[in-house]
Amino acid sequence: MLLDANIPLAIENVVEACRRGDPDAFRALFETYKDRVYSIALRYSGNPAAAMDIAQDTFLKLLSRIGDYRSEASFDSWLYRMVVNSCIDDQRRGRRLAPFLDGLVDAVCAPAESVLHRLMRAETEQRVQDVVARLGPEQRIVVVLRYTEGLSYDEIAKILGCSPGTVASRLNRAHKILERRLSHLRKPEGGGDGPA
Amino acid sequence: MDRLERELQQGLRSVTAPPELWERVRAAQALQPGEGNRGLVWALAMAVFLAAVALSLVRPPDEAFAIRALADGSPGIAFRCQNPAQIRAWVRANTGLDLPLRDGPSLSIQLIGAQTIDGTRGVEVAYRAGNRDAVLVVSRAEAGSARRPHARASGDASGNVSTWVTDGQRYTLACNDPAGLQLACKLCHLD
Repeated sequence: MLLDANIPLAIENVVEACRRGDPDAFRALFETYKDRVYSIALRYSGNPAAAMDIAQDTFLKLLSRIGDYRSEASFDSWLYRMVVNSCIDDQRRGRRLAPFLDGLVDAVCAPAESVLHRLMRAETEQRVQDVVARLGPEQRIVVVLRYTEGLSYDEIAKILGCSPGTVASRLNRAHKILERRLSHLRKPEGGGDGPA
Repeated sequence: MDRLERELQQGLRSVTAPPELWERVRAAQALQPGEGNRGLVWALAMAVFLAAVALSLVRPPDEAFAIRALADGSPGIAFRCQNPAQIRAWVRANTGLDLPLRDGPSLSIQLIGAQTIDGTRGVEVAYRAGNRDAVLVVSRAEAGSARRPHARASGDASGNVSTWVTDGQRYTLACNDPAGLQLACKLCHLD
């Protein structure tokens, strides 16, 4: 089966072709989902090397378990569940969460913004990533699925196998923790430039 | 949208996967057994298992026992002793068999011990011949068995096992490699 990148294919067809062992279909699935899988892995682990391992593990699982996928469930949810499990497995293997410096480097290198502004933004992002990395696994995965992927409570609940109420409760607790930890690192809103 | 949510969306925003991710997935995929290969692996494993079962049915029990004991490192040794006279006495007391062990065996022979097989049917003597593991299994020969000289065991393609019958006892000698068999004979014979 040849997949032309210019012709959008229903994901069900690609999944079905992948189940039949079509390597082009697997490549198409990879291209469709790689950024989402890698982003979740990176935001959860806070470590690019760990994120590569998690993403690789997820796609290998996808390939070996695609025969188990039942089309009545959403493929996205099925895949997200695998990413989440890979993240948790990776953490169980005892990998330390490393400080995430790439954002800082990217900020300095990015064009069209003043260096000072970029550094300030990178610093804020770094702080957010640091405090998220210190959340417990259950709260952290909810935060990542919510803010990295923009998923609804219902979607997150399906992926994690819990109720939307549980998702809301975990997110609420995470918000309180994050608010508290970030508040004393923040300058006042619009701060710094006001009258002395 | 409040400030916290804005910061979270910005700080946790989606990123682009590194281009090398595909190469890593492909390389890892190549190392994994595919569905077809997995079937082949299962078929081979089953063939080896069936061959082992068939061999154990064809092979006389003493040979099978000696080979297994050699492979497992003689785990069931009941009487650990390096003295040939004491092993000979222990075997006689426990099985009634007489082992013609040399009182002062070659320096290249180091006894480990002995255990009985199936009650009093036979005995296994475990020892080292040079730097090789060796096992001698002795049992009563079937009634009316003729004396049979040393011979390579018929079912053993590796040549590591030798069997013979003498004085109403069946002997099975197994060693890690064919060259070790001659050295292993010094358990009972002169240099």
